[in-house]
Order: sequence, then structure tokens, then C-alpha cells
Amino acid sequence: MDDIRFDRQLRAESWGKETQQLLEQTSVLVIGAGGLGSHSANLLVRLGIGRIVIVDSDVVEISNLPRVAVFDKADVGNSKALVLAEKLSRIGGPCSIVGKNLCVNEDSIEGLLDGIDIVVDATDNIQTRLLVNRACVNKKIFFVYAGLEQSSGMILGVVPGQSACLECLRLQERPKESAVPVVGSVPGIVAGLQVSEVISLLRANMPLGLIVIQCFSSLNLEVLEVKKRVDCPVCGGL
Amino acid sequence: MSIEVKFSGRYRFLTGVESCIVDATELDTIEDVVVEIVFEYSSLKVDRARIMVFRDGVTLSYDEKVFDGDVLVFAPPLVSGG
Repeated sequence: MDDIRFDRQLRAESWGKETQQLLEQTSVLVIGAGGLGSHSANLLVRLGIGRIVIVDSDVVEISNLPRVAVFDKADVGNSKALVLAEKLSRIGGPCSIVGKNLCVNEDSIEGLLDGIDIVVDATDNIQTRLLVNRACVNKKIFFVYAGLEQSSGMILGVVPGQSACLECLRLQERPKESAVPVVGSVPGIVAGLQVSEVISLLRANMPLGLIVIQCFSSLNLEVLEVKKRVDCPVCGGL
Repeated sequence: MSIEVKFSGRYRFLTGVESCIVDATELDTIEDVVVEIVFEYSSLKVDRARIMVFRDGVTLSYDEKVFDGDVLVFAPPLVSGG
């Protein structure tokens, strides 16, 4: 363990060497390298996670820059996953980082989950989110969903078999429109909460509940109790 | 029939209230409550068919029955990755 690099968090009363070692032994799959995923991956690498795999099939666009971490103007047109992995590798430390420029679907998800302890869901559509949720529940891999819109965010940690899964929420896709409105600073805020939930799951195996945050206008953060649906087609029988 | 609806996250901002009481005789399903709420708070119209509705921590479908004294939580569905 790099005691000098992690000196400040090792001193924190809620952290300590046990948590740091736990992180170094953990492999995380980050799906989506946009606003949420870039911030979450950045935080996880800096915290000292052991291995991170970043997957995204999109390229960086100029309209991404207000919301994302790490990317800059020179990255426009290049693979989000590959650029993010390359830039985060410069941070150094214990983390092994792999970027994959590919689409997450029925064919690729099983292989992507090999050796993974926890999935950070930062995708931009509900079909992919539900696909990954189902795969994680089947393989009993921790799953942490986060979603956002406007100046709001939502986070749900899933412990397969124990807590409600994403399917339990009955999430519906947005009506078709050009792009989802998002205030540029919100992904960073929501990513911070998503990574906190990752650490909570790793340390305590128990999610907080559905975290809902409204930024600006009326700053509000609450944790809603969410129970498994007995009729959930994914986790109802577990 | 009287039902309390609590608003979560962005819905508090959009409605300007933390909760409200829906009091009507013809309420039968979650769908009926959603219609009443959207009529009262037109700012929620954009999410009309997508609002997540919880009762005792369980998400409900719109065709489920409501009962006098129910306390429902309305939460916004957020699916963008930013």
C-alpha cells in the first residue's frame, strides 16, 4: 500500500488501512464514460481501487466537455473509453486501468463481468441499464446505478438477492427528444454519491436505499426506502 | 377517499410543495391519483406516464389499487448518464 499517496484518507476516521486494502483488491467495471462515468472512474482511480475496466462505444463530442471529467478539446472525435483510460493511467498508484471501445449488449456483457466485483452503471439508456442489472443479479455481482437529468440525480446500490434491483423501480425511458437537459456540474455531484455507495457496498454489503438529490434552486438530498418487488422478473425469485 | 402524496427530489422543486392530500371519491388506481396530481401540478405533465410511485417502499404499477389513507411517494425517473 502506498502510504504516502493515500496519507490523508488513511488518517480519516471513517477510512483506515482496512478500507484501503479492500479497495486495492477490488475490480470495478464502469459502463459509460460520459458525464457520470468519467467522474466516477476518476474518483475510483484516485481513491486507490485495484482494477478498473471502462467501457463505452461513443466518441468525445464538444458538447460533452461541460459535464465530463478529464477530457479536453483535443480529445474530440476519439474514443471516450480509450482516452479516459489513458488519461487516468497518468494518475499512477495501484490501479490497473483498461479501456474498451465497445457496445454493451447481450453478447458482450457476460465476458465483461468476468473477474468483476462491482459494476458502476453510468450508461445513458434504460435498456442497457436493465440488461446490466439483470446480468449482475444473475451472477451475484454488486451493481450501483446512477442517473441524472436537469439538476437532479438518483443512485441505487444493488446487492443481488438481498435488496431491490433496478428492475424493481419500474423505470421508463424518456420520450424521444434530441438530448437530455443536464446542468454541467451535476454529474460530478452524483458521481461522488455513486462512488460513496460503491464503498458502502464493499464495506458493509448493504445499500443505503434510493438516494435522490436535487441540486440548486432547492438543495435537497433524501434516501428513500426501496423494497424488492415480489413480482420482479429479475430478482423476485431470489 | 384521502391519499397523501409526498414529492421527492425534482418534483418538490416543480410543485413547490413537499406533499399534498388528494381527496376524491372516485379514486381507484394509481393512474387516477397521477391524473389528479398532474391536473393540480401541470409542471409534472412532462413525466405523466413515467413517475415512479412508491407505497411502503415498493414501486407500484399504474393499474394497482389505492386505498383510503395510503401514503404514496412520487419520485422522478432519471436515466441519463450525463
